[in-house]
Amino acid sequence: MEDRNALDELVFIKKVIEDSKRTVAENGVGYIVWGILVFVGLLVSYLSNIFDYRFNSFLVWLSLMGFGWLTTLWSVWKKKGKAVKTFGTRLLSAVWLSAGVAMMIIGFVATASGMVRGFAVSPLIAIVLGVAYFLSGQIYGSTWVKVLALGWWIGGIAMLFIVSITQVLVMAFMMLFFQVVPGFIFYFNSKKSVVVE
Amino acid sequence: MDEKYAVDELQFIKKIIEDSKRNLVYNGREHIGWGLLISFALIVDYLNYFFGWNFHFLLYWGIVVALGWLFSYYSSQQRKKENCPKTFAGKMMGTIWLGTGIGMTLVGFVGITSGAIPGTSISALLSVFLGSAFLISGYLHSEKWMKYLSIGWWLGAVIMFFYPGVHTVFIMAFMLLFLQVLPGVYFYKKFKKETELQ
Repeated sequence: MEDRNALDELVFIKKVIEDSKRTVAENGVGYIVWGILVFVGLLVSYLSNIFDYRFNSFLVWLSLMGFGWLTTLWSVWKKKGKAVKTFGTRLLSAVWLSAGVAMMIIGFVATASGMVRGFAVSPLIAIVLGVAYFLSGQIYGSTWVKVLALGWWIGGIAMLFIVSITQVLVMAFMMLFFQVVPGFIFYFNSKKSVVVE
Repeated sequence: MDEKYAVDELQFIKKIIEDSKRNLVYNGREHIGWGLLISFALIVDYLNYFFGWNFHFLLYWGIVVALGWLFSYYSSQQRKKENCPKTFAGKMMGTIWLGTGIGMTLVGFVGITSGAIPGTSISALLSVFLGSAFLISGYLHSEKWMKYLSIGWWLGAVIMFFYPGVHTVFIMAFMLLFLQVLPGVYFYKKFKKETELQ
C-alpha cells in the first residue's frame, strides 16, 4: 500500500515538473509582429526602388522599428505580474533583447557612420537572427527552431554575394518563411495547448 | 513491475532536475584563452601593417581562428574528463559561444571574402556580436556586472564605427583584455575557490 502511495507521489512530481516546462512556451506574437513589420519595410524599399519612387527610407524604417519596440514594451507591460518568470523566459528575453540591440546598431549606427554599406545590412541582420534562433532553439529544446538558424545563416551567406535590389526581396521572403511562419506555428501550438488544458 | 516503473520515474525526474540546474560551474578558460589569442593576433596584425610584412589576411586569421576553435575543442574534452555536471546552464553557455562564434566567423571570413564588408569595420562588427553574447551570459551567470560589460562592447563598437582606422586594432585588443580576459580571470579565481572549498 505504501509502495503504491510512493508511486503516486512520484507520478505527481513528474507531472509538476513536466507542467513547469511549459512556462517557456511561446505564443509567437512577437515573431509575427516583428516579422510582418520588417517584411513591410523591405517590400516598400524594394517597390520604391523598382518604381523609382524616392522617399526617406531612414524615416520609414525608424517608424516601423519604433512601432515594433512600442508594441514589444506594451506586451511586456501587459504581462507584468501575470506571466510566470522562469529562468528560461528570462534567458529568452535576454536573447531577443541582445539581438534587437545588435540589429539596431548595425541597421542605424553602422550605416549612419558609412562603415557598413546598405547591401551589407540584410546579410548581417540575417546572421544575427541566425544566432538568436540557434540560442532560442536550445532554450525551447526544439530542433526545428535550431534548423531555422541554419536557414538564416545560409541565407545570410547567399545575400553577402547578391549586390543588387534582389537581395531585399530575398530578405523579405526569408523574413516571411523563417520568422512569420514559425511565429504562426508557435501561435497555433500555444492555442492548442490552451484548449487541451 | 511497480518497482521498475518507479525507478524509471525517478531517473526521469533526476534527469530533468539535473538538466534544469541553474548553477553554472565555469572556469573562465575560454574567455582567457580566446581573449589572449585574439589580442596577440591583433597586435601582430598591426605590426604586419606597420612594417609591411604583407601577411595574407585570410590565411593569417584562418590559422588564428582555427587555433581558437582547437583550443575550445580541447577545453570541452577537458571538461568531460573533469566530470563537470551537464546542467541546462552549462549547455546554454556552450550554445551561446558556439552560436556567437559561428556568427563572427561568417562575418569575418565570408563577409570580407565577398567584398560586402570592408575589413576596417570588422572589429566594430565583432564587438556588436560580443556585446550580445555578454548580455545573455550575464543573465545566465546571474551577474549584473557582466550584463554591463555588453554596454562597453556596444559603445566600443559605436566609437569604432565613427572613428575608423588602424588604431581600432588597439581599441579592440584593449577591449578584449579588459572586457573578456579580466572577467575570465574572475571566473577562474571563483572556480578555484569553489573547488578548494569542496
